[in-house]
Amino acid sequence: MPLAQDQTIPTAAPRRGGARRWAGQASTAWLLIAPAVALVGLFTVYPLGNALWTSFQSSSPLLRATFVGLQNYQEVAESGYFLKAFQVTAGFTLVTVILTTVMALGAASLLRETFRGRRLLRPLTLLPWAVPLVVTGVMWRWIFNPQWGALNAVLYSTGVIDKYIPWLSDPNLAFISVAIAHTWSQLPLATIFLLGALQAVPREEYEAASIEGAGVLERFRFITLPNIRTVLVIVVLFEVLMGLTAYDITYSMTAGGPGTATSLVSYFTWSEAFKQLNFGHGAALAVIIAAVALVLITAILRALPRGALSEDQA
Amino acid sequence: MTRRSPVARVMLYLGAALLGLFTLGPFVLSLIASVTPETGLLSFPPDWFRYGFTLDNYRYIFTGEIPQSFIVRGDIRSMISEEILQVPNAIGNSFRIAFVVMLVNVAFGSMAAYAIARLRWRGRNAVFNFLLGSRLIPAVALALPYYGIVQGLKLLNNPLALVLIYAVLTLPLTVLLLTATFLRIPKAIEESAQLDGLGAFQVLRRITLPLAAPGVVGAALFAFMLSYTEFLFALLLATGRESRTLPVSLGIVSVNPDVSVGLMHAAVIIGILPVLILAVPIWRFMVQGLSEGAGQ
Amino acid sequence: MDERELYQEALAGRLSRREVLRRGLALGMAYPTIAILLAACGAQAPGGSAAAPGASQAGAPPASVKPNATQLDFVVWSYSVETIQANIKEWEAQDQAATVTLSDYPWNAYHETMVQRFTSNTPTDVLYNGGDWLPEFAKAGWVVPIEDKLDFAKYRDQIVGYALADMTYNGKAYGLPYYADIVSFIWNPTVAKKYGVDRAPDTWEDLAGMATSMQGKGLDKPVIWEFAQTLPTSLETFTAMVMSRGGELFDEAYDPIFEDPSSPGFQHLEFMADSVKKGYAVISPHETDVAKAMNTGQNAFTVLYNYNLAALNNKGTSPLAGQFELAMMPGKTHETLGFAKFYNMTQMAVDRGDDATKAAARFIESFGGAPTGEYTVAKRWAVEKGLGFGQLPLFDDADVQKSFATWVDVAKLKEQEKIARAKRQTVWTGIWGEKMRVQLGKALAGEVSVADALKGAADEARALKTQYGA
Repeated sequence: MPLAQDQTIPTAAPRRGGARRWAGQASTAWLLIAPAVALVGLFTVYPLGNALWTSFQSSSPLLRATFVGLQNYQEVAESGYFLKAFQVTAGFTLVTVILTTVMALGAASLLRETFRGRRLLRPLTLLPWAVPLVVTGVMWRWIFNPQWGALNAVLYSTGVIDKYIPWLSDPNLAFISVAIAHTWSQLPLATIFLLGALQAVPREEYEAASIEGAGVLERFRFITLPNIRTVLVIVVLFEVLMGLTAYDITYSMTAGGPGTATSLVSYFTWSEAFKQLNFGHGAALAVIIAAVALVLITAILRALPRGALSEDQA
Repeated sequence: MTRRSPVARVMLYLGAALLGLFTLGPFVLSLIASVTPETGLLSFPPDWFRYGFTLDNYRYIFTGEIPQSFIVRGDIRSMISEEILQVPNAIGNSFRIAFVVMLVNVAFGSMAAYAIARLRWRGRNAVFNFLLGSRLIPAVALALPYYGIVQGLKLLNNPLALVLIYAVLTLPLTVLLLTATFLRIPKAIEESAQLDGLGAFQVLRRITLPLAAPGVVGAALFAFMLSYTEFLFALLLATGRESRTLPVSLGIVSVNPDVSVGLMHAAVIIGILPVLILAVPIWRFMVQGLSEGAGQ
Repeated sequence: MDERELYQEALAGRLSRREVLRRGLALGMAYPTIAILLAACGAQAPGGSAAAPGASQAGAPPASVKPNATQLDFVVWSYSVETIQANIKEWEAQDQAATVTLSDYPWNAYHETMVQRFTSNTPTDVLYNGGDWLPEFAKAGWVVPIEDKLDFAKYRDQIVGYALADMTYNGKAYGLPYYADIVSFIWNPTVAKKYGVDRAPDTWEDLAGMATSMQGKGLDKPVIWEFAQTLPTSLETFTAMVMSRGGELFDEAYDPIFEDPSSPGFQHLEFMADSVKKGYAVISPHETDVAKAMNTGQNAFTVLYNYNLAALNNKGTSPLAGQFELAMMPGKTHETLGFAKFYNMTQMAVDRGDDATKAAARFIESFGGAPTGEYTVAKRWAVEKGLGFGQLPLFDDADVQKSFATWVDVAKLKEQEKIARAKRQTVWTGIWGEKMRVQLGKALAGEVSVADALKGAADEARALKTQYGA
């Protein structure tokens, strides 16, 4: 395993002051983590508490706030918008996770090989990550625009198509378009993670396997996958989180349309809280999304080899 | 170096070309748009280069000089966005904020990661899970309370508010990355330092951090990028013109009727140029830092 | 100095705005051309702000405001903020008793950021407001009527009907107009002619026939609709078209009247859904996208806020500039929607006391009214940016007419504006709009039937009415 074992601490030789090694590790530890925890704590505990509290109230600046228990949750869950939005978001997350992971694996495998131009290509594949999502939305909106977009113009002038394609005005094409744009923005990070993991796989294992006659697929399944499992799981986890909370790109490109083809749960939540002034609903939705994310992430983390992430080795 | 069959070679270069095209295509297109007159970009059937190229858009953003097409074609309206002139200023704001957040992350993040990776104490797992779990709360649930907190601290329209919030958003991931990084460093060197009587802080500063440099730089860069590109809280909390960040500035002009396609993309290119230049040379640190350390 | 030298000097930032104005006038240049030069040299000033030395009066050193000046917080959305700042500077110099701090938010997040500001009591004294949010903000107690704070009587008759209606809640007027505009039917006669159509449609059915015949001659999508679930403008353009059929979405009691298949609302949604299904219309999510699409010549008819016509005919950026025209709304009565955005005073300003209230009132009057007898600020928006106006006297102003004539047929615009009216709105109609737009979107995309969509919207309206009271 590439991870270093956490060894037991050897008995210390006598040191200055005669104290045991960092007597009271706890106090040192708390001192070290104090700034980070304080900062995160202030900005987490209060808002979460506030959100939970609000989710149990019928709360709006236009009406008196009253306690309504789980009514907000019920209304939200039964609302047609919610179901459709979750459906679309689930589909979007699934598609983008698969697309991103597969493409990143491909890209990472590619970049692991040596070839002419690799030194140039590698840093350049990082670029989409440097772009704010709202800008990504602007760039891809122009590319996919049905009437004056870049893609249509390029395809048309090179004779590939003889009629502009309605990228953003057809529900299915719109879904694919926003998925592609989202994947483009997520690809660099996933590729870097996987490239690092791939590079750590010992070459000898591959050589041994090919001597024994293992083909490309078998090498991948029995050597690559097990070795990169941890990082792969982390990448999938991250992409799931990104998919569930996606907002900027989609709304810039399609405003959730056509119809509700690209309407994600993130906008729906925002709309309930701030445009419809129903803070209760908004808070309930936020709690639901957080809960769903928590469940998904816990499930995904189960796929990790035991103790891989920061616990002591068994 | 393995021998490669001709088929494999073709596949390899084809794959590289496709990857390059997909990743870089949009940038090239944006660049082209930024120097092409709108009259060309909107032509149908498409004939983009009919009117040649122009740097008018860039000139306008940096100097406010109205593009030639407005004057030469005798246009009578001053209908060109004023907002887009704020973009260079916004870039500076974003950069400064992201830089400070990066420093905060390196400092606080490495301290916390060290405590989690190297020390034994009750509550270690709880704190770690707490930090990670804090990222699960959707932004919309945080908006009003964050606004309240920032207002209470009298930091509205102050870039410091964004520094605080971005630190909160980036620290968990930094701690995660650095914990993983620290765990991979052999303990031997640190332990001999402890035997020499160095305290925790000193070990961290003098030994662990230098050894973990690639990972630290990687985490720092990640924090920088996240802060530079964040939109939602920048929109809500610091929208005074002077303190406005780049994503918000670009978001505003993207829906402005007085902004042509070319002008918008000129702003986009200007906006991402600083980070592109930064990101490229640090690539190697990034990969090394996030990887398992090939051959270590 | 001749015109060319003036251009060069102005663009190089070597002249103050006052100088540019003076020389431009002396050379007999057209007002709009002077306006563009002013904007250009304003942008040259250090820091990119419009605080050029020429902002002060008569060559005197910059006016110093009294040390005890009241400070006002003014909140706007981000459109031409430098022009606003220039206007502010001029007012401060003339008023001498108050200073204004300006904050701006992006337009598409304005509503929610204002809600945040108010619920957290962030100091705000004057803000931009719109007819659709006024009932909400007034009911929540965040804003106050203007007619109690200044001599409104002298302005009441000078404000065009639909603007006054948009600024009124519970019988009281809440502000003075920033700008007012209508929804227009816009078309490209040149493109239409190319495909065999040489007049504007008289009814919507007429339009359907024309579009189908144009399709036959080779134009794939003659009609383009602006529609986005996320934008209030989409509901306004829809409402305008319903009005053109002589209808409304709500009656006086705020009950929905669009469920019946014979109602104008139902018929029009059916018409629009049909147009998409039959393939002669396409939907685009933003008005700026529609304007660009029209400029490719692939579409010939659309319905948008009128100021988009100025952008469409903008020679600086539009390939087909000059080809676009306004036509009367097709439909039985040809009516359309008129609306206004205005300056509103907040309860917070009033709570601060007499000085603040009076200062805010003076500020609002200077921007939306005519304390000197002339609507200078409104006129500036009209002439320089093509924004419509709510002040009747400006309709007859020569400069305004001259400037507008470059991008619209003024006579036709007047004719259309005469039969424009504001829509019925109350506390919950804004909130309902969010839900209605989702239903409209689904119907237009063919996800649900028109009947189902409108029934859903009507149910929601009734539920909200019960919850909030009419």
